[in-house]
Formats: sequence, C-alpha cells, structure tokens
Amino acid sequence: MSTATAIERRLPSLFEVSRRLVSLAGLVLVWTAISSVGLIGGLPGPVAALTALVALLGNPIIHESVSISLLHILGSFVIAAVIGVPLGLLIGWKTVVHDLVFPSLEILRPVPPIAWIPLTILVLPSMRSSIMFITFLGAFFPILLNTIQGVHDIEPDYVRAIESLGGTSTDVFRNVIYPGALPSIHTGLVIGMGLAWVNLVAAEMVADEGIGRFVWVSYTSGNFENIVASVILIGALGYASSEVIRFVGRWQLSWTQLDD
Amino acid sequence: MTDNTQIAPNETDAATERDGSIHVESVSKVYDPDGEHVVAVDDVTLHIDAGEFVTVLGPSGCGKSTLLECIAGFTDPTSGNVYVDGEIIDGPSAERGVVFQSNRLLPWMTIEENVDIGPKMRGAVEDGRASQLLERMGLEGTENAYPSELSGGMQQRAEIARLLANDPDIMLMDEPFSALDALTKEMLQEMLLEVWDDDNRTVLFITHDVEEALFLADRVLVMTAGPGRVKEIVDVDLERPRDLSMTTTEEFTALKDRVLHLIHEEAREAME
Amino acid sequence: MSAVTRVEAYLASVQRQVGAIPRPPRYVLKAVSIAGFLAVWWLFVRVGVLGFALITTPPEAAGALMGYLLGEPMTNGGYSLYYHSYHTIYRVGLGVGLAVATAVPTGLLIGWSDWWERYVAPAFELLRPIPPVAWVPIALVAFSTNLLSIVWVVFVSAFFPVLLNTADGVRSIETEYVRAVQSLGGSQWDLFRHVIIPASVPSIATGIMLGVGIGWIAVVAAEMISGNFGVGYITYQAYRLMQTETVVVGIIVLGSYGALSSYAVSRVGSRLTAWKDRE
Repeated sequence: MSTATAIERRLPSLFEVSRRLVSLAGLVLVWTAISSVGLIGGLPGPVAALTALVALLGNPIIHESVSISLLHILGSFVIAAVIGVPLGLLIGWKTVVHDLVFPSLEILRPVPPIAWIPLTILVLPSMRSSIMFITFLGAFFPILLNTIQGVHDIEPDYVRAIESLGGTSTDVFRNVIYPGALPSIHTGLVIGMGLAWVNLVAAEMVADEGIGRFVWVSYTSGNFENIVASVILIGALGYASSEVIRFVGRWQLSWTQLDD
Repeated sequence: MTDNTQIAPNETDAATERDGSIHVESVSKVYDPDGEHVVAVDDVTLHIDAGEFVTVLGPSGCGKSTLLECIAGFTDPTSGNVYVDGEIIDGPSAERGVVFQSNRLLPWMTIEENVDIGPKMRGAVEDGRASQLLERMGLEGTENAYPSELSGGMQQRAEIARLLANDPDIMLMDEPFSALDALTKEMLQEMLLEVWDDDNRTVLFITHDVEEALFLADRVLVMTAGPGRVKEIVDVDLERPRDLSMTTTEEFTALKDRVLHLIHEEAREAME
Repeated sequence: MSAVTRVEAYLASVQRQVGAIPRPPRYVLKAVSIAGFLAVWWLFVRVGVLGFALITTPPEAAGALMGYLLGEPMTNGGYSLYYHSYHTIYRVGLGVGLAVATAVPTGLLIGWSDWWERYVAPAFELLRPIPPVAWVPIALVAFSTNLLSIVWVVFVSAFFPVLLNTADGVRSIETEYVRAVQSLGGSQWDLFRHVIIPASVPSIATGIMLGVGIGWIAVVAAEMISGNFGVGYITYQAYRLMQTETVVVGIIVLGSYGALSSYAVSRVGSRLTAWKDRE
C-alpha cells in the first residue's frame, strides 16, 4: 500500500527473498508431511520429485515434448493476438462491426474451449491443428474481450480533442483508440497466455501430444515422480511465458506506471 | 485544410486580420433517451464577431455545454444551424479549438507530443514550436513529462498550448478552470486574457462563475435552465487590458449585482 | 439571412436526416449476425469444408437436442442428458463452492495483513502457474475416487482467480474509508464487516466469474480424460462412437451451462453491489 512496499516489490531485498524462502520452506514441509505420513497414497515427497525433475531435464524425450508444446503455444498465441487485437479494436470502435460480428462470437464464447476437441479432431486435418485450435480459443476470447473493453473505456473527450484539432478518423484510431486500449490489451494478453496453457495441457492430454502426453504417459506407466516433476516443469514454463508478456507490456506502457 | 492563414509564424502581426465569426441560428437540441424528451437547448440565436470574447453563464444542466458541443461540431443540432464565417459547419475542425473541463491531454503522450499533435496530423509540425508555446504558457522544461506528472493548473495551460499550436481562429472553452483552486484559477484567467490580447482570436468561454464570466468577457450570455434559453446578453464595458484589481471596482460590482439578480430571478421562477 | 444561405441551411438539415437513414436498427444487425453464423455452419457441412461433411447441420443438431431434452439416452443403452448434467453440475458446484469458501477468507487475510502477504502468499504464488488440468493425474493418484479427483481439479482452477481478485480488492480499498471507521470508534471487527468485506465484493465477484469459467474448462477436460459419466465425458465418448450429432449437442449444452452460470454469478454480484450502479 505504501511507496516502500511498491519499491520493495520491484527490487526484492535480501530480507524479502528470505521471507519468500520461509514461505517456500513451509510449502515443502507440508508436502513432506503429507507424503511421508502416507496420507495420500503414492504421492512422492519433495526430494524424490526434485531428483526426478533433475533427471527429466537431461531426458531427450522431455526435450522433444517441451519443444512441441512450446511450438503449439507460440503459434496459437500469436494467431490469437493477431486476430483478436485488430478485431477487438474494430468491434469496440465501430458499432456496426460490433452488431454484425459480436453476437455470433458471443454464442461461441461460453463453450469451454476444450469441449470443442471431439469436433475439431473430426473437422481439422491433424491432431496438431486440433490442439492449436483449442489453445487458440483459450487465448482468443480474453484478448478480444479485453481489447473491446479497453476501447469502450476510453474517455470520449479524447476522441473529440483529436477531432477538434483537425484529426481524421485514421488520426483518431492511431492517437486515441489504439494507445488508449493498450493497457487493457496487455491485460488481455496476460490472461490469454494463462488460459492458452490451461487449454493446451488439457488438449494435449486428450489428444496425446507434447508435454501433456508426457504427464499422462507417466501416470499410466505408474511413474509418479515423473508426474510431479513434469507438472512442476509445466508450471515453470507457464510462469516464464507470462513473464515475457508482462515484460513486453511494462516496456510498452511506461506512461501508465506514473500513476502508481 | 491548406488555409495559409492557419499558420501564423508571428502572432502579433496576424492579430489584425483574423476570421472567426460565429453565428448560431435558432439552434435547438433535443435528447431522446428511452423516449424521454429532454430539451437541452431551446431556440438559441447568437452572433459573435471575429475576435470577440463571449462568456456563457448559467447553472449546471442549463445546456451551455450542449451549445458548445453544437458549435464545436461534436453533435448536430436537432434544428437550426451554426455558421462560422458565413459557412455552415460540418463536424469538428481545426479552425475551432476546444479546451475541455477536465483535462483532456492524451495521457499516453508526453507534453511535447501533445502540443505537436495538431500540426503533426496536418503534416505541418515545426521543430521547437512546442517548446516556444510551452514557454509562453510558463511551462518551459516540461516537454518530456507525461500529463499525469503535472499539476491540474499546468495541465490546463498545456492544453491551451496544444490548442495554440494549431492556431485556430476560434477557441471554445468548456469550464476550463472550474476544477482548479482559486489562486491558480485567477492566474490562468489573466494568462488567458494576455493570450487573447496578443492573438485576437474569438473566444467562447463557458462558466458558472459570475466573477469569472464578467472579468473575461466583452459580453456575457446568461442562460436559463431546463430548457436552455438565452435569458439576457449583458455588455461588459470595462476597459482593457484588465487585471484582477478591477474586480473590486464599483463598476464591476454593479455589473456583478445585475447578473446575480438575473440569476436569482431565474432561480425563483424555476422553483415556482 | 440571404436566400442562398437559407437554401444551404435547408440542404444541410436534409443531409443530416438522410445521413441517419441507411443504418438499420441494431437488433436487425444482431439477428443478421446470428443467422449468418448458422448459415455458415450449414454451408460448411453441405459443401464439406475440411472435415465438416462428418458434422451435423443445425436442424439435425436441433432435432437431436430435442430428443435428449425429452430424455432419450445419449448413447445406446446409456444414461440421459439429465443424468450426465447432474454429475457435471454437481462437480462444478462442489469444486467452485469449496474454492470460494476457502479462497475468499484467505484472500481477505492476504490483502489485509502484511504477515499473510509475506509468509503465506508466496507459497500460493508457486502453485498458481500450474495449469489446473495438469493436476488431473496427481489427483487420480492422490484421491481414491473419481468424484474427488475431478472436484479437486475444479477446486484448484477456481481457487486462484478468486484468491487473487479478493486480495487485490482489499489492497485497493481507499485508506480514508478505513480511517473513517477507525475515527468513529470502530473495532477491528467493525472494520472488517463494514469496510473490508463490502468494499471487496466487486472484485470477489470478478474472481468468481473467472473461477467459474476455468472451472468449466477443468471439469470438461477431467471428464474427458478420466470420467465415466458427465457431459464432458459423453461428448468425447460420442466422438469415439462417431455420433456427431451427440458431440454437437454436448458442445451446445456445455456452452449453455457456461453462459447460465456466468449470468447467475453476475446477477448475484450486481445484486450485492447495488450501491455501485447508482453512482
């Protein structure tokens, strides 16, 4: 709440790091307790899981699975952003486009993306295109909706200001609509990346590819250490990809941080 | 817009020969949300000469902002027309600059980018022009700041600089100082009068502050509330240049009493 | 005014009126949008774009939906739509319910107390990036029953959005409100009851909205992977049996449940935050 904590958040001090370690230690302790008491049968402890994780990092199978999954994520996310952002800007800006396009998208939106997978397996040419389509859907709607919201939240007087300075429709778009919606687009991209991973893992488990397949195979072959290790790996990858988006956003949106 | 008079390198020379007369011909504006008939402006006719300073005074909700929106071209009147220099206006234009009530500098641009945006959009941006205008408004050194880093008064001065960069014949100002503290407000009033004296632009200035209206204007248009009509136009024959010391003169207080009387009379009628 | 300007004035007003005519009312455009969607679907199936030839047309899907609504079994000798729906809704309801019951108090504490923020929040931050569906195999190992493991996955997916939004809601409360209650002699409990909780209701509602959405994804995925009934399960099962009209019905039903649940959450949310809309 105060400025001191805001600065601390950006530049974690040694003290701050040690606090996090305390928290992490607590988590490990709870985990150890659960696994050693045998409260939950078959759950490996932290040491076993970490050993498995280290072994996994040198495993060529996991390298291949991870690269397939990253390719799925990257491809789907880029397509979702390239379609979602311009479409969202248009829908938000022009009522005619909104009324013609948005209602049919609204019919599709409440369907959990993974529910499409039986249909896409039938319709699309390959498993890979099905997985990518599901992942795309996961990212597409948050990006689209946040972009539209971003345009709607723009103060109408900004548009008037540009018009009264002699600006054309293109000027309004370039100087108001796009930069004004940018913070919200960024929020959409961060949420979209999170949901892309949620749906990717689901689709890969169902359609048997990439790291999702690896987790599932570990389960069916009874290798419980590998389940936990690969889940940790997926978490780390998901976290890293969200951080990339956040980093790009901070760099693009320097003007918004002045309000802090 | 390739009108050469729009780019005046030296304001003092251009002062004598500017366009910018406004003629409002029986303008009405009716809003119809959910079938509710709301008359915001009712049959207003008004003529403002080029170079004149007119303030519009009225209680909140009297349609004075709607009137300004019609003149700015942000909204079409339901009936009637607005003429500028004898031509019917068609939407907003660079010849009619607007200063908004709460600051409308674009928050994602630096102060310099904000001031340059008008000329930039018309492909006529000059190096150093923004700094020159910012200096004129007492804002030297703020070029690279973002609007949110400036105080309210500074933001409003930067917005005036942005308008001046476009060199419009007409300045439309919608309660530009109403959100400022009293001291800043007085300072900006004097600054605005200096700018107006130098450049001889037509100014239409909306306010609900009687003293502000009289101090600035050649004529004060007093509006009635719901529906917005012209109650009376008061000539302000006070000598220029003006400074704030004159607000205590007998002449000024007499005018102020007269306008206040008009407003109170109006309020009484509205209550009956 | 001269005759010329009067004519000009007339023309301008005519032009304004004409300019307003060509756009049809908004509901017409919206109807066109939906009709267009159905037409494209139908056309794709008829023409056989990609593998669309395998899919049912809108009228066929509507027919199948009607049949299932009347209680026909969804697969040969299998259960009805109502039976599958009951299981899916029960799992989502229980998972999201547990998530709200635990994440809201935890989020309030993390947002309010520095101690919780410093020592508890980082542990949650470590677990948060794990995509919920990745919990399915862990849950299957950890819990003996199918129901519990699916509920756990739904719980995990709804927990984090609710937690984060609740904590953010508390953090963004204006200090003045807190001071106002303190200076009126309010206790810590009064503060919680009259400021913290009501002021964070809007962001709690946002969190639940997000949580329910991800909860639906989780339940469908978990049912497809490991279920033996439920709408997600039957949709995938129908694909294996090549009953494409059942697949389409499954998607329509899941979409409707998704829409209904977010509508319900937003209705409750706006009821609880009625003070906000009146501003």
